[in-house]
Amino acid sequence: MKKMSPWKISLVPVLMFGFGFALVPLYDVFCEVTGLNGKNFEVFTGDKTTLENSGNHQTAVLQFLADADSRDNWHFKPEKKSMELQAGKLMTTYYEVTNPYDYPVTIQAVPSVAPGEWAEYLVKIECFCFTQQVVPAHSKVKLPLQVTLSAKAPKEVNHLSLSYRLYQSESLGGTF
Amino acid sequence: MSHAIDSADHHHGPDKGILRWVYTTNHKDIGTMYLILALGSLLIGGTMAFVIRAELFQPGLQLVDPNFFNQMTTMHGLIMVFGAIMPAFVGLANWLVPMMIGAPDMALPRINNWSFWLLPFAFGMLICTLFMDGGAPNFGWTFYAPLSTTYAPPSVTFFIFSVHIMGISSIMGAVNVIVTIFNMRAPGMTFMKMPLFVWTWLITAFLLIAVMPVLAGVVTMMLMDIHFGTSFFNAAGGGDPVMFQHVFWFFGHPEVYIMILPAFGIVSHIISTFSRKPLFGYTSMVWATASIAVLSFIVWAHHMFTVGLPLVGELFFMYSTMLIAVPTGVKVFNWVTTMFRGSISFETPMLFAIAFVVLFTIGGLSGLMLAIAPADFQYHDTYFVVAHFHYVLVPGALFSILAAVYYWLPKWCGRMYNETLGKWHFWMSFIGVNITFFPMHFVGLAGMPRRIPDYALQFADFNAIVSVGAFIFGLSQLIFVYNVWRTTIGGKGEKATDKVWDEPTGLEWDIPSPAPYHTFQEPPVVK
Repeated sequence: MKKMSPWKISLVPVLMFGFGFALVPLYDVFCEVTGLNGKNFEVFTGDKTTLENSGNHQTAVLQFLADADSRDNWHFKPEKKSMELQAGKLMTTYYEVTNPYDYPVTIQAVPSVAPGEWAEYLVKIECFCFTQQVVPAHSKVKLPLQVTLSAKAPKEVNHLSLSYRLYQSESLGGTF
Repeated sequence: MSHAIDSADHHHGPDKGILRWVYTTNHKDIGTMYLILALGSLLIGGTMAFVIRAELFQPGLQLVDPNFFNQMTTMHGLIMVFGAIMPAFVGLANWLVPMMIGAPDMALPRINNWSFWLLPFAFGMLICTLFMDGGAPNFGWTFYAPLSTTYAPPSVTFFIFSVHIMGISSIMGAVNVIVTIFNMRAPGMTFMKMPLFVWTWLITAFLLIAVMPVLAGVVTMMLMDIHFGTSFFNAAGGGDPVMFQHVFWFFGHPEVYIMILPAFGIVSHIISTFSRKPLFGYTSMVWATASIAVLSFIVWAHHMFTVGLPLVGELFFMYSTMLIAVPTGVKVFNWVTTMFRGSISFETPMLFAIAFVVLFTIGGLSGLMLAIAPADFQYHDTYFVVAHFHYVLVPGALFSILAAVYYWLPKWCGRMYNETLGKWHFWMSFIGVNITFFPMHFVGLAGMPRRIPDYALQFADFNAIVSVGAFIFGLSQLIFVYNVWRTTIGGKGEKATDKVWDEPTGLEWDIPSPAPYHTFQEPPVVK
């Protein structure tokens, strides 16, 4: 009878421990492929004129949402509730946030686009969510955002929502 | 001459005193210790259930504050799953697998000793968290992030360490079972001649080595998020709390089959013996067990229908979950058909086994209801879910363990348990368990959420009934404890024959009762 080696069979748990961690990047890949979580928007870093000369002039309404915490003492809100996006036309808008505390606070905004499967048609040229922002004590700051609609957007893309959740980055786990 | 006898004796009997149990590498001793640990956990977890049911006897907050209530629900779940059901099955595997396959012991006796002795430390540490600043874990036994990371009490680190230790113990135990079954079967015992308990445990062991490391991985990620500044489950740092649920349930769903597959094996033996017929459909039982195990890896997200899965995902997990009803239905059919036209007698193990078939099927049916994604949106996180998983775990897994103890105890200790007390235990448990868990379906469908210390007034009557049932069920387990105590330590009860029952099948019935300390030093030949 051929013997089964305990060492060989112990490889299974070792590999499965690794597989547990491999699930983390796999999850991201899965979300990117399926558009889940709405993180799949395009970040544009190239020459802006290439965007403008795409030839597609489709439009879509972009709605802005903001979410800091349930008590809302940060007065985190978009400058406009919504605006009309046109493919290739760069639009600039702001979010406002007020630091209610006596000390400066570093914040990180986390974006999400809905519906997730259309997230790739939102092009961000500039966003306060790319980096952490410092808000001085007791002051209101405007956080800039520059977006447009992708020239690749098919006709049925007529409506997108862009939401931000704000986190304090000193205590990354912590909310406000 | 006397020297020669002494040294011969040395190999035939256990050491004396406490060190016998510390140093033992004997599968029977280790099995006994696992079973005692499981019984202790059952009583501790049961006491926590008493606290929960006492608080829920009436609406309003009477006895404990909500945070302590949450600690009780969390610890009750953790201790029952990892401390009672799983060690009880490992204990049964230790006692029975070598005797059933005609092996002298487990393949890795020292590893076996270590796997057991890790557990008292793991559970000791887990229970100690109750007395720490901030209290015990209070985030539910599923410990979803960020409740278990950002918002967790400081004791969560001890919880993580304790899960690591019990995970190592389970993995070593499972490796031991696999190697024993593969390498140490008696000559002639081919795979398709193995008793079903051995088969179900072999498949369970494969599930254990596949998913316990994933649990270890997920708690390690929690540890890193809490202490080392990573962001696996933290949206602010680019992580995702929903991913926690995916990784957890990738472990969690196979885990629920880890807790039920050995039960299927036990019940198959008992029903066959007391129906005085060979088991109907042995081969289909083996294949059904294997298919359930394979399917268990692709259904995990049915625990998460409400997190915002895409429609395709909802459909996939709904249909794949319903598919599990097919092999499970095959099993139930085989048990019923084994009893059909059998010459049935109703000793305590058989009563528990029949109750298992009926009540586990009720749990399976409510599981099918929960598998329907649109319906689950209504049932999610209600008492209906609590009713469902208690039906599969209490009159399911726990009843099978009780049945197994009654069935094999005469073989272990050489004396019959008291049948009258056994019947009392069964009927009190059977009535108590249904009074406890059946009304939970009703309050759940009416919308009572789980894990709450207080509830709306319209649920008051059913909750009072549930609490009464819980106390009947809990206290009737003391009959079991007394019965086992008087049969083993108390030395009462008539002497068991070697066969114990009417023509049971299996190698374990060929050896004397009580089973000698060392059995099958010479392998038997299986025809």
